[in-house]
Amino acid sequence: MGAILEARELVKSFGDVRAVKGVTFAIEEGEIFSLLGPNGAGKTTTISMLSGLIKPTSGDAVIAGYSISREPNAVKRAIGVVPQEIALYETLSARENLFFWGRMYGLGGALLKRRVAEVLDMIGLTERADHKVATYSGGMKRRVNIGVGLLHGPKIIYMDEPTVGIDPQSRRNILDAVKELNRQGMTVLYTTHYMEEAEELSHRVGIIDHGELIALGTQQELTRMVGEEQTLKLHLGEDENPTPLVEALSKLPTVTKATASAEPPIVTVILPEIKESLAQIIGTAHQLDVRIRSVDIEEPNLEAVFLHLTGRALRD
Amino acid sequence: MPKFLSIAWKDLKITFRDRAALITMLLTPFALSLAVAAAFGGSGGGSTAGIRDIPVVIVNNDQGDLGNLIVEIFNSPELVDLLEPTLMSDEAAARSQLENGDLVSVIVIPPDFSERLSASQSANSEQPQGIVEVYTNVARPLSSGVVRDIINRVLSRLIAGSATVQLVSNQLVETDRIAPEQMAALAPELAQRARQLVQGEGLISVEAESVAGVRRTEFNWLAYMAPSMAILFLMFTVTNGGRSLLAERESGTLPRLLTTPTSAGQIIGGKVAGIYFTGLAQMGILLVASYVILGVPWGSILAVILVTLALVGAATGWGILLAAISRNAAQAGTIGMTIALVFAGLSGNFIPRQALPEFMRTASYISPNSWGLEAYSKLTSGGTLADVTTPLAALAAMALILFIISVVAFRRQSQ
Repeated sequence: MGAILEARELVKSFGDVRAVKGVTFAIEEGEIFSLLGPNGAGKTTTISMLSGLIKPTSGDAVIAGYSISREPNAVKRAIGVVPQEIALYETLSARENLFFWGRMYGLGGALLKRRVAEVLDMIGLTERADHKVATYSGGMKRRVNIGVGLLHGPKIIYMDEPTVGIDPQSRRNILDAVKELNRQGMTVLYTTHYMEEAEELSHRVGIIDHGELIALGTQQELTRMVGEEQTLKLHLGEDENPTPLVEALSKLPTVTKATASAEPPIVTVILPEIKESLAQIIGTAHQLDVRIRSVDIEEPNLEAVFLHLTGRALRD
Repeated sequence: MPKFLSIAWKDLKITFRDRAALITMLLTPFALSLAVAAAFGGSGGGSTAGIRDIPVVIVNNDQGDLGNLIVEIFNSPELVDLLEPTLMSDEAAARSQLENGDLVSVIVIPPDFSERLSASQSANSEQPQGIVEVYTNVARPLSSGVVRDIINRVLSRLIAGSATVQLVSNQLVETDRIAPEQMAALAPELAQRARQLVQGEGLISVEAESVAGVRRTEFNWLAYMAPSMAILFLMFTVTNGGRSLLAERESGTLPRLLTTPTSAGQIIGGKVAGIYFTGLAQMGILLVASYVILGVPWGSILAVILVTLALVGAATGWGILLAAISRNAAQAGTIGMTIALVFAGLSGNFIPRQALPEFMRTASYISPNSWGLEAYSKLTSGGTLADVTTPLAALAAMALILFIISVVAFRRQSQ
């Protein structure tokens, strides 16, 4: 299968600030591609350019054979966008919302009617289709939000952090829905700052930070970048300050990298051989009078890749 | 259906399903019209005025004849129901009564009134300043406004009449029809002619005009308050429409619309059409309800429709401009509410325009309220389409100008 989306050296500047600095990647037809990065990394700006919502300062993207610079309307017909927030009219019913958005995508008559019925069935809201969206639970609203993006039968769907701020059950439903859509052949561009979601969903992942794509590949390809190194997570006591421990561990010759997150206080240590070093690490903590509640040993993952590449944790 | 109409229809549906919005748009203006009209006495088409028997004291110190003329005019049959004039010689006592709230106005005619009036005319000067002193009761602005209006009109007529007699006298002498020494013999007759001129047909029409809708045309408070409140609440509606455009940006529906193959022009066009149709529906319902339930005499149907179309257009222009210049929905709401209330205050949406100072009436022409109210007032007083061409043209021009300014502002914003 060929690439359905090719982003070429996309740049976006807002005044003196360069939010996206020459991002290049391609998405194959039928795959789930995740853009993984912390908040403010440039994910939403990139997806906004790929949606035709904002014009790139330079560079271009070709989606389903159309250039976003020269043929933005053709691109908009080929893509479905599921924004981060619930972008629906709450005082209208789900059916009315779908009819309205369908018309905005240029559908009409019998085709619109059929697509609305199909989408309602797909998102499991046929029974409550005529109730106001305002009366729905957060998860139901999310489903309608996704349904709007599917109405016109797009070739690729963009999902911009669709699980932010929702309960675990709704999150699970959305992840399952994304996988189901993909099973039916839909290509998905998914942005997230949750490493677990990218790992669970994606065929390939692009890691973005400070507006730059710093790594791109399958999960195996990316974790290979970390090499044979392992990740050790030290969960500290609630009131402990992790900084002195991080400083001390960074000086140990057996430790490749050590970082900390404050709430809850966790120190993440990357090192080639845990068995040899564990006693020394615990001893260092003891010397500094830092209480360790528990220790996790993790296989190399995207979090470790991000840490390896940036020196920071994804959620910093 | 074109996309812009789909957007407009969606907005119309959202607004008319909102009970709170319906109360604000329809019930409140209707109830307020009724309440204000009831408070001031007018309760139906062709009813009598709420203002009558205004207590006025005239202190006539004039040594000449023209002061008496003013007294006579204030006691004329045309004004007998409206005014209750009393003649007093003690100015201090009269002003004391005014301060106690027993009077609406005290008019003090100075001793040299006739003399100054004649002198000013022979000197060919402008209207002399402070020629008559009028003291009014601030607690009764409506009645005070009526008295002030009458005295201004009477003085204008007096000055014009006096000038005419002066001109005729001069011409008679200059063309040698009479000798200057014969002028003394003619003086009483000329004075009588001046009196007739001031009291004659011209003044009657002045009275009819000055108290238009107050007395002679049987001022109908409902016919005044119904359009006043409808226009005020129309401004609230367009404010809400402008605010909704920004609210859509904040809630994410506007950015989402921009990711569909719908142009920015179609989206803005749809929002404008939505505000316009909502305003039109609101005005239509209020006008029909006030006619059917309250019997407000709207007059020529064609003229009322055209005025309403133009008025809602101009109001929509303000709503869109508001969206174009505001940073967010909250700011648009605050600015819009302020503009709506200032326009209403300036234009006489709360009290009759006649009671407002001249500068306010002039300033009010920046608002759709003023032109709309002027047009509706003429129509409810029996005017025809020909009588409202100026307000119609002004409203249409206002709509066009505001729309152009808004488009420019939106383009600047998007850049």
